[in-house]
Amino acid sequence: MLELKNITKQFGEFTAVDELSFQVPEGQIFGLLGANGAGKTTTFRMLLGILQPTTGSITWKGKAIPLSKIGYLPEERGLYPKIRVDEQLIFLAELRGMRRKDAKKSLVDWLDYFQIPQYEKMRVEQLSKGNQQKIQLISAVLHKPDLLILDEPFSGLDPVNVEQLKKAVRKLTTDGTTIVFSSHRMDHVEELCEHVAILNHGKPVVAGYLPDIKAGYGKTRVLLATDAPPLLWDALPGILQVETEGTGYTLQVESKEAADGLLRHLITEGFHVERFVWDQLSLQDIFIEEVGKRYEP
Amino acid sequence: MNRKFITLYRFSLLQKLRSKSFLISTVLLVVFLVGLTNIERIIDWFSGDDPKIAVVSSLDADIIPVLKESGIKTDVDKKDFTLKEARDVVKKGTYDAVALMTDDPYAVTLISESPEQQLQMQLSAALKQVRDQRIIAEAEIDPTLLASIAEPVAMKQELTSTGGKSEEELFAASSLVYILLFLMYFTIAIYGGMIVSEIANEKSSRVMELLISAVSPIQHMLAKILSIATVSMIQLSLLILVGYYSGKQSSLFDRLALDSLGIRTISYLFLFFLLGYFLYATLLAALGSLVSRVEDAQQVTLPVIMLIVIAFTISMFSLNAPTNQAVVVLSFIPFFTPMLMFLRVMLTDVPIWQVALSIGLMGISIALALFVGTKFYRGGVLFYGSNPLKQLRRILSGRQ
Repeated sequence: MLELKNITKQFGEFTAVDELSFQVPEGQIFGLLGANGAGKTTTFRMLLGILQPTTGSITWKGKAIPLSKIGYLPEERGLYPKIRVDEQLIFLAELRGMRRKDAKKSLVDWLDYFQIPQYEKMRVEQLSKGNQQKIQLISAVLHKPDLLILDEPFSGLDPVNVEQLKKAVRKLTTDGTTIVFSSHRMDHVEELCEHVAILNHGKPVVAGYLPDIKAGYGKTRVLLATDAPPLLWDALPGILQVETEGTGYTLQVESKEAADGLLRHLITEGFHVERFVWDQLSLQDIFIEEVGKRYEP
Repeated sequence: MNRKFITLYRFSLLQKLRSKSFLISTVLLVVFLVGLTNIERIIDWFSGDDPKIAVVSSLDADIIPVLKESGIKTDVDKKDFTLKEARDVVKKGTYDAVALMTDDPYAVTLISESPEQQLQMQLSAALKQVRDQRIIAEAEIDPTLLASIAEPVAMKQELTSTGGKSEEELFAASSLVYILLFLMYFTIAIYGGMIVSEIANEKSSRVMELLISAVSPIQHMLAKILSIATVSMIQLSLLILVGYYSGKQSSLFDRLALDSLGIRTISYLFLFFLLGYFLYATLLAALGSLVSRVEDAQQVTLPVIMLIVIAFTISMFSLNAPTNQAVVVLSFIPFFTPMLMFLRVMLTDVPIWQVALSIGLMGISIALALFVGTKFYRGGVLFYGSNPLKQLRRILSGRQ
């Protein structure tokens, strides 16, 4: 279990992370979210031991995290452009305490997994961005870390590459790796993570088990496609907000009962209902609500 | 020394040794050195064949064997040209030079297309020899008497301030020291600069973040400094070996006292080179960690590079006055010690305590530079802003 207790990091008078606490059970993926500058990278750097927290404690299975057991994929991609893939990956794995021979074997396995064994002897600058990102991920997992930190792993990749990397991330958790993950793509987070925390200006504004968080919001969402004019619904009880979205509407409703009432009303009035989806708020909605409202003066 | 440190060191060293820039610069420097030490042969090579010479002489004694003895290697023909004919054959190129000694047998008119200084000297020496022999023979002087008159007075110079070295030895020694100082200056500046660009490269490619999440910034900095020190020692040794063997075969370098390039000189050279390198490299690494891009490196490292240039300039002026009081004092200032103390040790008698003191001071400065440098480095390596000076202030005020 990875446990952060009341972590605060100050740079002079500036507080980058403020009283952050969360836990990640082994073998799970934790999503750390936040707008740019919210303190995610600072948190990661503290996990990695590059920075020391001003107050608070970080423990892994009750002790300090051993550097050899941690893997890191930084937001800004970092590899030597002019050095061969195998040379630098084995070097980086050795720095994390792995034996050369084991690193070589692990590298071959991973290149095979991504079906790119032909890149082993090539220089990084010769590879496409998607392939560089796979190499970057391999550099983070080559030494078989127990704890893996992925800072924006999917940014700038095409959908095929995103799926490949997601598959690799799931495989890692099945193998028992604990992952802390950050992304601006809420759909990716929702898909992969069970636990999340949303940071805003260094403060955790939402944290916990994702289904609990969503349930806690009470408010729900209805995706609707119908020929009824929106004016009609404003009169109905429990409808909070209506937005036109593509061919349909997205409504925020107060409760399950309000959604039921809306559907009943549409049918009794004889309108055609093409689509009616009752859903909890998406993580995207929660993020925008929690972080967005703080942007307003 | 733990395993990670060795991994870092080995990787950095191998990458450098295998890099094209290292191979190319080494080859170029070796070619340059071999060229410089063989400059005479190269000039000979390009100046083409030896000149073809004709001599017109009315002397009974044959001047040609004497000319041969005086060092003319090509064939010399004895001819019977008039002045006009002589001019014609030179113009036509049948002969490169014609020496006319017709009117007065001991006066030469040398006709050639362009000045032939060496031939002029050889001719006049040969003629003088022939004439002297005739005069001596006619006057019936005992040749041994003449020989003892011509014998120069024996003179041996001893300078007390220079450890018994004569002026000539001193000149030879200072020429050698000049070359070695230049080598030291050049190597410190080049390899110091290399450290900065290595660090800036690792920062701009963002590998730095991966590296220092696995090893401490201090380990990283030391491994970098040591690996590049190794590269520089390899290159420096190679240059000295090539320079020594190539220079030994060249007459131009006879006066260089290459024989004094013994264990003592080499040990001092490497000792002071390494001390200087570590001091400057630590400062440069610390400053280099503040820049995010290779292009910004120059503005930050300029003060340190200036110090190296100043040290070298002072040492150039000190070559002629190694005993000057100012030189003695300056040789204890750590930034100048590597070049000035080396120069003093090579050219004068320096009490051993002075050498030890200067080395001790250097050791303390290096330790101090490492202490301050690692502080900078820690705060610098993850800094990606555009204003290195602002970051410097933040580190100094303990906010990073």
